[in-house]
Amino acid sequence: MTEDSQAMAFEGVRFFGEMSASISHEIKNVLAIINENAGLLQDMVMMIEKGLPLSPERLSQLSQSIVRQVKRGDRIVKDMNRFAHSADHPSEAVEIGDVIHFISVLAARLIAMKGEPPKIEVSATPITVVTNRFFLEDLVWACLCRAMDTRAPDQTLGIVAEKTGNAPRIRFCGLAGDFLASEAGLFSLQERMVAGLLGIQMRADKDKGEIVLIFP
Amino acid sequence: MKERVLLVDDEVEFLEIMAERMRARDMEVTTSTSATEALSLIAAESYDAVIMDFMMPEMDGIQALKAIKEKRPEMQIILLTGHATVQKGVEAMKAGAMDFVEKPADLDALATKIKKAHHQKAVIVQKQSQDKVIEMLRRFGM
Repeated sequence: MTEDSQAMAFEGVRFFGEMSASISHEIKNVLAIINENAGLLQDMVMMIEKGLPLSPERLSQLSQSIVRQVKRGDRIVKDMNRFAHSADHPSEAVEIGDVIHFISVLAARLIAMKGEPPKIEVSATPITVVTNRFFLEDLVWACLCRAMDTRAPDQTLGIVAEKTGNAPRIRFCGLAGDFLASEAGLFSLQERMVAGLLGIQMRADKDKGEIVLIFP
Repeated sequence: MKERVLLVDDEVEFLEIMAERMRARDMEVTTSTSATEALSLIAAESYDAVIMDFMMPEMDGIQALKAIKEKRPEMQIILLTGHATVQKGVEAMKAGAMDFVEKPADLDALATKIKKAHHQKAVIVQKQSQDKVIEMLRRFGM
């Protein structure tokens, strides 16, 4: 294995680990709510044993809460499964807007911890590229992190998927220009390697306050 | 005397159900969905224990813990986390947490920790009062 491919492998595992940790935290929250519901039901059983009245309406609320959490857990696990399968093919047809939406859902908690979620604008016409889905997800997440860390205080963070001429691109807007000094300093070696693998150019536009990914 | 608890978590359903179960155990519970709001509540009210999620929007558990300890060192803080690693536990204890509990938590075990928090806070408050009296006596040359 060459040094480059080893670095790519490390980056892939690192990204997979970061997403998995966030997903497992969400699953734990679902389990915690179901656990509290079960505990409350147990408390109610003890109340009945003591002869205290029980409200059918309260029981119904508990049951609805459990159903809600099971649905939420199911959605999280489905997303996790979809994410795991994104590494199946070295190259496939990928819709850019779909990748942006998917990453924003998958990493919703990590995004919430960094402030207001970004506003996503995708072209009404699907923009499809043939690329490696897993590493594109990695690159979108890396740029989103940079964008969230360098957001301009008075602006809304946005992600725009669009096509200019024949070139699809993703713009991360609403960034503080001062932080976008140079592409070399802004992106890590691994991120630049991922972009290189996908043939994507990464640009930091200080004047517009944007990070731009330009597809081949 | 009832234990006064501030429960902080951005998961509203978790917060509501746990608060209901705590109240059924004769505790006085206030809830908050953000660390920022919790800090305002702490400035105005006194609690025996603050039970707080480790991973929350705006401010993470350690940052919030440090901010609370700076304002109200007597308050006992129990951090809740999805995954209790040794590293996180050490970090929390170093920052002044009383305990570190993994979700899903056992409420009876948590209630025991809250009682301990109530006792520890009372000891600290008593010590703070004694220190104030000693300081006053010193000022008067006694």
